[in-house]
Amino acid sequence: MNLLPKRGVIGGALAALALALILSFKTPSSTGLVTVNSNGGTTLNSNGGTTLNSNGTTSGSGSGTGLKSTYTGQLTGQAVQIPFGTVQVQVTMQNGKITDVQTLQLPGGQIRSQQIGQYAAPQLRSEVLAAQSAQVNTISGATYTSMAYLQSVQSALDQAGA
Amino acid sequence: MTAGREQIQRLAPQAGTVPLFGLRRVEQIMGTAISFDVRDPDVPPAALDEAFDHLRDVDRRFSTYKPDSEVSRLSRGEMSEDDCSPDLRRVLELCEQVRETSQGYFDIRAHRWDGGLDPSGLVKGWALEDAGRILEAAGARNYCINGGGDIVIRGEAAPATPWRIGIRHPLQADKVATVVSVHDGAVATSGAYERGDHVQDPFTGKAPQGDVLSITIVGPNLTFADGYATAAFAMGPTGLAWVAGLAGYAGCAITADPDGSNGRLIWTPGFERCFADPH
Repeated sequence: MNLLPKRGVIGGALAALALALILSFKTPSSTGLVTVNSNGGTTLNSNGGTTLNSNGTTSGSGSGTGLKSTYTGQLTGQAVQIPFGTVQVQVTMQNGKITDVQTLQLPGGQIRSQQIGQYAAPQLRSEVLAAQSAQVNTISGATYTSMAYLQSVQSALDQAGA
Repeated sequence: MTAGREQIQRLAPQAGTVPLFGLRRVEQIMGTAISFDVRDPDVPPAALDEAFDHLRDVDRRFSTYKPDSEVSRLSRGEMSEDDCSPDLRRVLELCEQVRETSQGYFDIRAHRWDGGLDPSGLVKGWALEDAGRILEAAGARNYCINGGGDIVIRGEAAPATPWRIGIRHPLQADKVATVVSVHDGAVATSGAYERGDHVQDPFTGKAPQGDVLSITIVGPNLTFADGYATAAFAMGPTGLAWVAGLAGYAGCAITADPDGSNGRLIWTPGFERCFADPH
């Protein structure tokens, strides 16, 4: 697995690969640059990473910059059907900011789904709060269950005008 | 897949809140959640109905999970490519184009264990682009469509406020790895964490080698971004270098550190223009 032996080498290794591939692939590339971020990129550390904008303020996950809400209270999201169960959340907001997400329903009807659900609940809650703290409108690379989860969250936010 | 017709109809704003503008709705289609977020004030909700109808129609005709879909019938040899609808012929052409560009790493004939056709790695992006055109015909200029993490962006989230798209951190669900902003374009991510190891290296039939956890492609068109993300992820450690040679497209990858404790973000030249915040 560890084909990339040392962190500092990744950029150089990929740059070399890039050069080799540019020569062998007949791509329509017009760029003269073939290095992949040769200065090393950014390390994402377990304490939050250098790329995170964690000073989140008002924007809720899936809701938009420029949409302001001062809602305070709890809102129950829509129950979203997915092939292996139902996803439903309750969102707690304070002054238009999500402070907590409780899972009301996650797939649990079958043994395998139950494992998915138990694993997913804290992870999905984290995903929503992360999206908020990074002030994003949407997320690329979301999972199937998390999209359903976000759908339920979004329906709660819509009630708040968030 | 059961395509539930769950909808979020915008509810009337409650007292004390600022009214929303635009339209937002999510539905379950193509085995995933597809969300529309339109920020123009005057787009009629019927445009969303039409766009979702289009996606359901594509799902009906192109799903590999539906035995009676056109793709399934073609895959079983019950019809020839000459008998296919113009849409399916177009999709097959696009798939072939991406297969050639990727030197076989995107191959709709190599992804399934039974050798059947699976154009899913490109169909969703293609369908979402068309859905965007339906919105534009109804006057939408500022919108975001997200289909299971693959995104079409047009215009801005609000005047002078770019859209902000988080790239999911593959190791830590409470983090986004980075945030990108795109004005008119597409963002597609392929990764092992999304519903299991479903992207295979077509030459080995196994999960891609190496430490790449996810690859994100940004570019003008989601049809290609979607296919390129699948191909680049299948390539494993050489995927991002391949992306660097694609005209008009840029990408970033998140790789695992050897001890698995954290990840690392690397990107192709040009991708830095997409970062929403200073790095």
